[in-house]
Amino acid sequence: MRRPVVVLHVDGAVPESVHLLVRSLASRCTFRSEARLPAAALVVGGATPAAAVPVALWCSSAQDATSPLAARAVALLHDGALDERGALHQPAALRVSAPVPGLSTTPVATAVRARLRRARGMSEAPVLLYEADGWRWQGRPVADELVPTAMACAAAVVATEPAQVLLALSWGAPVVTTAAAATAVGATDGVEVLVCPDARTRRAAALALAGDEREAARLGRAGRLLVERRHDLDATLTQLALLLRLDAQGRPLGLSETLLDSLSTPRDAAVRGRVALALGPLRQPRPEAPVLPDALSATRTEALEPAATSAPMDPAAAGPRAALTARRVAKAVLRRAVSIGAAHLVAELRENRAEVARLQAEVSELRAASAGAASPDALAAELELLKAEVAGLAASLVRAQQER
Amino acid sequence: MLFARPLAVRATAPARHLRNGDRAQVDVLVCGAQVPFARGGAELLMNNLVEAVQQAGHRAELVRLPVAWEKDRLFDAALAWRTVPVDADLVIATNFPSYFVRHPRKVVWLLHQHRGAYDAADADWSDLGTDDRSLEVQRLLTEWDSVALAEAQRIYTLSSVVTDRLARFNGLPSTPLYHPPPLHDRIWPGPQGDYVFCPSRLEANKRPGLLVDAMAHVRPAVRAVLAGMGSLEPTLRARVAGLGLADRVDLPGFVTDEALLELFAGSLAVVYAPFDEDYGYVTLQAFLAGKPVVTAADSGGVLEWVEDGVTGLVTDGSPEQLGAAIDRLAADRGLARRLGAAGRERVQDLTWGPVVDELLRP
Repeated sequence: MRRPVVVLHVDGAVPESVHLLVRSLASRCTFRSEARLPAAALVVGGATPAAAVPVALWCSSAQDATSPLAARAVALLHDGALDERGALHQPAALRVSAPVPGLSTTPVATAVRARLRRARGMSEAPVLLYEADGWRWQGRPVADELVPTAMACAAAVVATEPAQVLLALSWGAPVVTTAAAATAVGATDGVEVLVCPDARTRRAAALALAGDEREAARLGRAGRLLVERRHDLDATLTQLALLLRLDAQGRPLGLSETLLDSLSTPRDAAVRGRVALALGPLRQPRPEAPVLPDALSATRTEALEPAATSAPMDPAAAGPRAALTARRVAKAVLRRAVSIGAAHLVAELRENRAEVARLQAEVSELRAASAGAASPDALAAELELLKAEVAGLAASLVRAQQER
Repeated sequence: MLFARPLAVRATAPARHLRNGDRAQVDVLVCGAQVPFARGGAELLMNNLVEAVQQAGHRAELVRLPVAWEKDRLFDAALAWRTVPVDADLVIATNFPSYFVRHPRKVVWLLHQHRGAYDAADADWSDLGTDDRSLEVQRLLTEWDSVALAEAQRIYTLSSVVTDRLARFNGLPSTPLYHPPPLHDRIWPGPQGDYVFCPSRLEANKRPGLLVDAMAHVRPAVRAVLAGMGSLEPTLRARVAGLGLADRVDLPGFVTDEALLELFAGSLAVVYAPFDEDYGYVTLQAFLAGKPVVTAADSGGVLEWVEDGVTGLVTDGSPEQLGAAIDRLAADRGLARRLGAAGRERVQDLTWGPVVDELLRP
């Protein structure tokens, strides 16, 4: 299938966030600084594209969002200049933020956490707390590979570093934090997080939250929304690709994709775009039987809280469970290792020697796949953007000289 | 991502904005789930809402899609609602999964979610156990519900019981919006008779057996009429016979609206003690008939209306206490009259007009 061409309109210097956007979107389209019949236009300044071309307009200030071009744009892109806009607004306001690795895509609501804890025989209202030497669950240290499990099961989380706060929010956990960390992630005290001045009050607030299911549910939901709106670049790109009608791709559509395939729907059929648009906000269940996130497996919860009694398991899964778990643990370590550099991999996988050779091969593949900025598509897109940027700067210089 | 989705746009001509009194005419689609071959309170409410919107001078239609409740098919109807074209000025979604409908002006008036995934997840009838598959279905449904409901311009609920559930399970704020019960404009208060009345589906969640058992503890001069149909009918008849109450407990089965009105009007009191009811039309109908309501402390939405010693009597739900409460009203008819009058006072201003105004508010 031919890749759609997106024309870049640039006038002057281009913010770093636009570079990030173009780089990241390069796998879904081809950027050109000039094109006769583009599929869409990304406007950072300069000329106005033809009326039929869907426009994404970069807004450096709130004023940019009031221009005539903004009124016909399908998306207003920004990196903090605009207020977040609700679902009912058009054009959409999409925030471009640097991707945050390791965030959860499977939030667990407060009431589901509570039921899961009951099912697994875990503590009733455990608080996950970060102290100087790391995470603690009910006072016990939490091994690195069990942090996601603790995030998904905790009744409340106390986190003081922005990265920890974001991770907990992405799991849908109610979070108590510091004023500085809240500001760093764009959260407001009482809205998405609770802010307390010292360790003692933070701990007390978390304990109170753990016993207040309504407040915990409200904060958990609001915190998760914050992550989706401000820190999920992948979701922003998918949304933008849909708005610009670049493709029907994006997040895998699971069941509906299977349904469309069964009707012999061509890959580029318009109906796929419409379905993607309708279902995009909902994470799709997989066509096979739903699988609980790895972090919530009985093995993980038992490892987190040794006293916990496992719920009855599916007998069919009991046999190969141990091997499966080792593989899952190894994969989780692998994912983290990829994000921090493969040098740590062998040490971290010493418990899983049998997996090492195969996993090292996977590391190579994943490293290649994750090296976004180095991919030919991304480089080509960057090049086009730089060309456009230079041309835009030159044009503005010429204008300035003429005015003089 | 919850924000900035492109939404369904109206494909037909826009509202004509004809003046109707001081209001513009609005085209409204009321959306609700359909359980084929079944009919209950939800269907009645949807039809009454459509009628009320029409009576307010607007155009209104009911859109329904079949729903399945088993966990393996739970998401099917939700997916279908996402792509249903709804060309109207406003859509009002009522129950799961109709609120998955997409529209720039979506208002939710929530009757209920799929309770088997929420407060009733551990109930016998829920197929969402504590196995991994069930937990994942519950987790994902909670996330989907939160996304779809949060798309709405405003979320109203049937009662504070539903509002509380939405806060506890989905972390979403909502406002209870109370509406009048069926037959509200035909119910009248009549003279106190010698029987307590309980109109109810004869199903487990309504606990009709409590009244039968309570009657064994009530003085012989008082009778009970338990009207309605349901799967428990044979069991209840056997229980009545077994307790030797055949001449004091009447199970007439289905009764017509006219008979229902007569039975309300002529009763001493109404006994209604379901388990965790969302709203409970019976309570409101009893009050409109000027009758006090005897209920249980775990009857949910009934307790929004029944205040112990003010509009009725709240018991612990045991047959002994229910029986004692009935006896108390039979012995003190002045009390029964006062409580009934207070109940009537509380609900007599409940009409559809303010409900429609609120739902259609810009």
